[in-house]
Amino acid sequence: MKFLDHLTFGQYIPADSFVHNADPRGKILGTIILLTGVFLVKHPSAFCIWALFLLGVILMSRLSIRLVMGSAKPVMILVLFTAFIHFLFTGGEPLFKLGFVKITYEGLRMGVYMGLRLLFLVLFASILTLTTSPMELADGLESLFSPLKPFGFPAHELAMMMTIALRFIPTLLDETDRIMKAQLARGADLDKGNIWNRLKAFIPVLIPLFVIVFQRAEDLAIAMEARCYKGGKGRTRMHPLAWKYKDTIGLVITISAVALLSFLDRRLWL
Amino acid sequence: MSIEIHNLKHVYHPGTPLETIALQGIDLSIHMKQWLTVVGHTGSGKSTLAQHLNALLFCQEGTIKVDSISLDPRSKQLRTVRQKVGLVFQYPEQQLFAETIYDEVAFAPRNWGVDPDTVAERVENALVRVGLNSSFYQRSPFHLSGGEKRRVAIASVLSANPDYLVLDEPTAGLDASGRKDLMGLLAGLREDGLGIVLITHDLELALACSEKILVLEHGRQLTYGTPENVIDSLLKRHVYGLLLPEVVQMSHELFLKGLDVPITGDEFLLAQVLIEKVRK
Ligand SMILES: Nc1ncnc2c1ncn2[C@@H]1O[C@H](COP(=O)(O)OP(=O)(O)O)[C@@H](O)[C@H]1O
Ligand SMILES: [Mg+2]
Repeated sequence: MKFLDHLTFGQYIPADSFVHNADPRGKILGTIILLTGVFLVKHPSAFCIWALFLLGVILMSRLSIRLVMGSAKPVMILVLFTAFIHFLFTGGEPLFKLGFVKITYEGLRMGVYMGLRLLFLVLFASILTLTTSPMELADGLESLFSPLKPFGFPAHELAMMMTIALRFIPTLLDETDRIMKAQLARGADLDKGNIWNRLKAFIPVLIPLFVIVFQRAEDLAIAMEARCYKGGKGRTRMHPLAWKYKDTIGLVITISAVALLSFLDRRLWL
Repeated sequence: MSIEIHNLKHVYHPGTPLETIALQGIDLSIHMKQWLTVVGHTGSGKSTLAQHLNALLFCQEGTIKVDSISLDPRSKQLRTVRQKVGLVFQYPEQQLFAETIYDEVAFAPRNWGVDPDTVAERVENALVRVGLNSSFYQRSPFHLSGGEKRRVAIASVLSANPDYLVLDEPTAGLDASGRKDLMGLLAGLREDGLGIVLITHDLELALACSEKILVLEHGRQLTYGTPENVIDSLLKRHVYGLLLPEVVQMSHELFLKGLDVPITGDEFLLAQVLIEKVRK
């Protein structure tokens, strides 16, 4: 029985590929550009080209298509719900009526458009986290935000917090899984009855989890202090980020492709 | 009445890059009133096996039957199986949650729908078994020492009245006397008719107390048999992370030197035989 699927949204999957090896700063900027591009899409049919784009990135990252699609599964409900709401509540010329439900052409178009937009956002974002280790991601963000440091922006502290949080997600999932199993073995019934009963049934899982989390946090704090961690000042890196020629090319290609696509979509389509 | 496992295979995350074959080709049977010990180094699949016995994990290939109930995710009798097979996880004190020790130990029987009078009786019995008297009932499990917490956690599984008890590395983090107390407790439970499955990486412990031993290596069954069988096969083949106790190694060396001594993990037996020889 799988109580919690550990291959959830955006877990890092190591591999040797162009995307994996690219500089995290480039990947973060590239993803922001891609996400902006997805927001700028005007015609739902433009998503066909975006799909090719997505496919290209997946192939370059040597991840299986099934895996990337699978990583969007947890948000699929949200995508479908968004689409559904637009199906139902967009005004216009009704295509057909069923009681008080009326489906319009505009509604269908809007639903598909919004659903796809959300799906593409999620997929691009999850490719970033699938191909970038939490450590690199945090380093990249710290470096991107470091120009703000003179203005008192705590770039290093935020990055460190993010690294720790991301680092602990798999551990916490493991712990939750273990405690759930232990309580099931003692006869707990975690999925029976109404919402209230289910919430109550989770108390035996939540309390031990809180205890473990606080214990871990304290252990970590002591370990960091014991190694003289004093924040970002004067701290050097074992693997300094190195922006390469390839990263520039990748970023330039991404920017041009997104710009071209948006331009075609707005000006020349149909 | 027994647990029968045939050709079990378990793969974590099948079909993904994280695929791990945790167990394969496992065959064994566990009877009531019998003591089976599973030994293997870290990552050899011991915990995975333990969770199969309690229907918390299901195998991709092979069969598991608990008292002839086939374990299958669709089976309606999983709760019955979980009641029959008590599972004490590694570091079981981490699952404690109740306000009082009494409630903690009563958690399992209440879940199984036992009536309140019987619950009280079971809680009392279980706590007596692990050596905690009634002065503990109203105390918080979070204010106990590590060893006491462990005992409450074990009592909280015993109170369900299982027919089999599976313990995943129950001695981890206990001192020598705690370990001895625990082994005494398990021996007593076995006398009362429970089937014991002890999981450990301590071969010496396994040789000392069990009728049958299963040695796992990288998810495969290396040997399954009596302690003598296991000593035999481990003398022939070194297993990563499992060292034979010094007494066994010594008796083996004496045997190889031509002395007629039994190859055993029992130092008293070896000493006796040697003293006899010296006397002669
Ligand atoms: N929840 C899990 N997800 C993925 N792999 C796991 C999980 N639990 C255990 N494994 C893997 O299965 C193998 C056996 O693990 P386990 O049964 O915990 O061994 P042991 O208890 O003997 O240390 C190990 O390689 C481990 O990494
Ligand atoms: Mg284990």
